[in-house]
Amino acid sequence: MSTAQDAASLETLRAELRRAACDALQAGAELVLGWGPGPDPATLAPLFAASPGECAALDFGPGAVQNLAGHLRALAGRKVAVCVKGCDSRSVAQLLAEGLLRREELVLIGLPCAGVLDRTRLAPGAPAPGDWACAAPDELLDPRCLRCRFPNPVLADVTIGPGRAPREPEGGPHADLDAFLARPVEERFRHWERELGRCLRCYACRNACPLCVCRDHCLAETRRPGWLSQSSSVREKLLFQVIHAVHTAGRCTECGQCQRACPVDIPVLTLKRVLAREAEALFGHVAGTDPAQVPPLLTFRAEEPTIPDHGAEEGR
Amino acid sequence: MPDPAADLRIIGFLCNWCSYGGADTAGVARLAQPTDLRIVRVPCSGRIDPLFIAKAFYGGADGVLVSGCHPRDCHYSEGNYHARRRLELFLRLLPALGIDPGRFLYTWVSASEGQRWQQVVADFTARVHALGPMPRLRETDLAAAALCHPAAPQEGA
Repeated sequence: MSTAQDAASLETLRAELRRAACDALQAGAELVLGWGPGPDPATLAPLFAASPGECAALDFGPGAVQNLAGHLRALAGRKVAVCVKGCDSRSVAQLLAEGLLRREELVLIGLPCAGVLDRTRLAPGAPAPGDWACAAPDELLDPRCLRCRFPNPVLADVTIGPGRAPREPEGGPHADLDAFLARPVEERFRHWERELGRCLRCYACRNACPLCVCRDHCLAETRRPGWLSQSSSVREKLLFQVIHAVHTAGRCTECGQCQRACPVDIPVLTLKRVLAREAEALFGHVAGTDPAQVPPLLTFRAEEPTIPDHGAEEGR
Repeated sequence: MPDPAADLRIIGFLCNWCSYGGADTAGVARLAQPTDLRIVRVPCSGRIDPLFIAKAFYGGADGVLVSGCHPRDCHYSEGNYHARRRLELFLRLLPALGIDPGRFLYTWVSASEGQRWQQVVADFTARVHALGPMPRLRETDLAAAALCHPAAPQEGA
């Protein structure tokens, strides 16, 4: 495809997005949550547009990294439009499934996505290595985009741009997890000891998580019962990550906001991916794919064919 | 006989209605049991948050045993069904945390199964002993460690 054609289709896509945003405002939405120009050429920053004039700055591309679904809970009760990539739409679907959002208050502008950039792989101030019409090269993308199963929104009122094919990485989407789990058990234990040793307890991972909805009632800040002390020990830091993983078990859509928010680059998404994989194996449940589904830990079956019977065999 | 030097720390979370009764039955029948187990009685296995188990491990337990009523026998009809899903999922998280899944067992023991209780405790204790003590967490960030334990001498000092 020639550069001139690219530029033309890029402008068409942008115009379509801005028109959809204006339509949403006309249909009664108070705000359109999307992305606009960021602090450097490769980044698109969240943009909340409340007027057609502001909608004219909306944009999309590999720099549109942030999952905007995390803002929706704070806006509940107001009608808003939100731009969603495939992964973001899963967060919205999961929040709808849990009754934490109302579908009639949302206008979903779906944007099929070819992958977002990993800021740690880019030099500061580097030119944008791709745009909406022409995807960025794989080696600059967030690793989770290279194993993306849902590039197209699972839920949208209007979809803009060409559909994208799901990724099928060599060795399956969990090859890196399998490699980690194949290491000796003590090494895995020391891995978390080392990684969490530098944790600052800033809770950016929790605050960025679209599914962390407890707000001021987070277990990490309760003092009675005292789940965590104020001590800066690796034990508290690691236990907090287990709390976060367990509280999002069967709900986490692996959007990666937690890991991206971490100022010291701790691979916190790994635990959540393990739980999501096991929830799928045990309960056939892929979080955030259907707003009508019941989270697997809120229900049960009298007979669980996938769970071994830990009582029948003597002394297992 | 209890032997504090050779014992490991195993925490047992037992439901009030079945397994605690089962342990009591075993005691009344004077069935000999290993002394590594410390029992916490909870109203129902459905009360057990997987985080109890995580907190026990990181607080120094070498093994954690959870026992409740058999499925279909819950005093509250469905507590153990919910527990079963949560505990199975948590069991499968343990390898990723670097905790040997053999250190955790959840099972079902009814109030009349004193003999079975003895067997469960003996087998599980033997299994944890075969794995040895759990590794203890060390501070890897020395600046953080100094904040945490200002009086403790630094390694090599």
